[in-house]
Amino acid sequence: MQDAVALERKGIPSVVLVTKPFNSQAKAMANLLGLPGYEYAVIGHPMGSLTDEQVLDRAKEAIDQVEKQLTA
Amino acid sequence: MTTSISKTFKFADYDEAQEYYQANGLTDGLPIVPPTGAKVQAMLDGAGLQPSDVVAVEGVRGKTFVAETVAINAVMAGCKPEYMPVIVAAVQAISEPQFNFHANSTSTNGVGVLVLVSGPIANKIGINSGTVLMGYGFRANATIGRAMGLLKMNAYGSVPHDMDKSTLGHPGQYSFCFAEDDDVIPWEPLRVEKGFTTDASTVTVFAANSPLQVSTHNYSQPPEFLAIVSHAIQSLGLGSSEVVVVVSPEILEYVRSSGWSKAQIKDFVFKNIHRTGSEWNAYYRTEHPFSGDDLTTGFPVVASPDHITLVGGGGAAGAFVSIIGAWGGVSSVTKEISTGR
Repeated sequence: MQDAVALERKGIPSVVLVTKPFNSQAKAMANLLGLPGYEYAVIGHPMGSLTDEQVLDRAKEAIDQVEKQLTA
Repeated sequence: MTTSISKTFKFADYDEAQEYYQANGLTDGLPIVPPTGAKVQAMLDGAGLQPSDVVAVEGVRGKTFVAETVAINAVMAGCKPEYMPVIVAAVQAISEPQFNFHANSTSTNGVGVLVLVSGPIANKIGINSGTVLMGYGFRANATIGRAMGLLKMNAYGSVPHDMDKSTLGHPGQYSFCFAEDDDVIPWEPLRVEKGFTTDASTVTVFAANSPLQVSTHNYSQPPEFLAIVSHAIQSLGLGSSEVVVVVSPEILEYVRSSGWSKAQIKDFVFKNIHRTGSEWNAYYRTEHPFSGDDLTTGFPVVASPDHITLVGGGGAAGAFVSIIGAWGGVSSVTKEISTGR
C-alpha cells in the first residue's frame, strides 16, 4: 500500500493486490496514509502453496478489479 | 511547566478513565496509568524534553514521534521518569530505516520489539539482568518494554487485527526488555562491541520472535554446549535476519575458564548453523526446495557471525541458553542513551 501510494503520487498508475485476510490492514493503511476509501483488489488466500493452475485462478479473480482500478 | 500539545479529557473517576482506554483500543489489554498532565510533564522532564520536541521520524512511513506522545505512552505503561531516556533512545532506534518498523510491526510473522540495554544505566534505574531477566517482577523491564508496545499502537497505528497481522504473536509483544549483566560476562559488553565506550549506556532493538530456551546441563566444554546452541538455532530454519543468544552465568563461567573469546564462539556457532540444501529440503525448511549444486552446499541460518549477538545474564544457577530469532530482512539498531553524564 505504501509503495503503491508513493508510485501513484509520482504519477505511475498502481494497483494494490491483497488476499482476503489483509483487507482490514489495507483499509487501515489507507486511512493512515490519509487516503480513506483508496481502492485495491482483493483475491483469495493463500498464495504461498498454490499450484500454477491455482495461481492462474487467483489472477482471474484479480484481472477485472485491476483493470477497473487502472482505468478509473 | 510547559504547555501540553495534546487533547485533554476529563473523567469522573479512575474507573471511567480505564474503561475509556479499553473501549477505544488505546491499551494492550492491561489497565493503564492515566496520563495526567503532571505525570506527563514529569516524564518529559526525565529526558529534558519539551512536549513538541521531535524524538524521531520513522524512516519508512515517515511518522513523527513527538516527545509528548512518547511521554504519554510511557506514563500509561507505568514507567518512572528516569526510564524516559531509555525509551527515547529505543524510539530513535526503531525509527531507523534498516529496522523497518513499518513492516515488522504489521507482519504476520508476529514480532515484538526487544529492547536490550547495555551499560551503567541498567543498574541505576533497576533494569533486571539477573535471575528471571526475561520474565516478570521488575518495574523497569516490565514498563519500558510495555511503553514500546503502547507506542506501536497509539503513536504508530499498528493495532492488532487491523494493522498488526501477527498470525500468532508472542508474550514479548506485551513487553520485552532486559539488560546485559556486566558482572558475569567474560567478553566485551555489547555497547563496546557496537563501538561505544564502556561508561556509555546503549539500547539495541531487535525485531524479535519468541524466545526458545535450551538446557546445556552437564556439558562444560565450549564445543559441547555450543553444539547444543547451534542445534537450537537451526530450528529457526532459514529466513531470520539475526539471532540473539542469551547465555546464563553458569555457562559463562565455563567460557571464562576455557579462554574462548566472543569471536571464537560466534565463529564456532556460525560454522555449525549451516545445513546443506538437501538437509533443509529433508525438513521442508525452505519455501522453494534447493536443487542442483545447492543440494550439497551449506546454507547458514543467519548470514555471518556478525549476525549473532551474544548476551550474558540471568540467574547464577542453571545452565540455560535462550535463542531469539529476529524477523528477516531487517537489522537491529543500537543507540546511545543520553544520560546527561
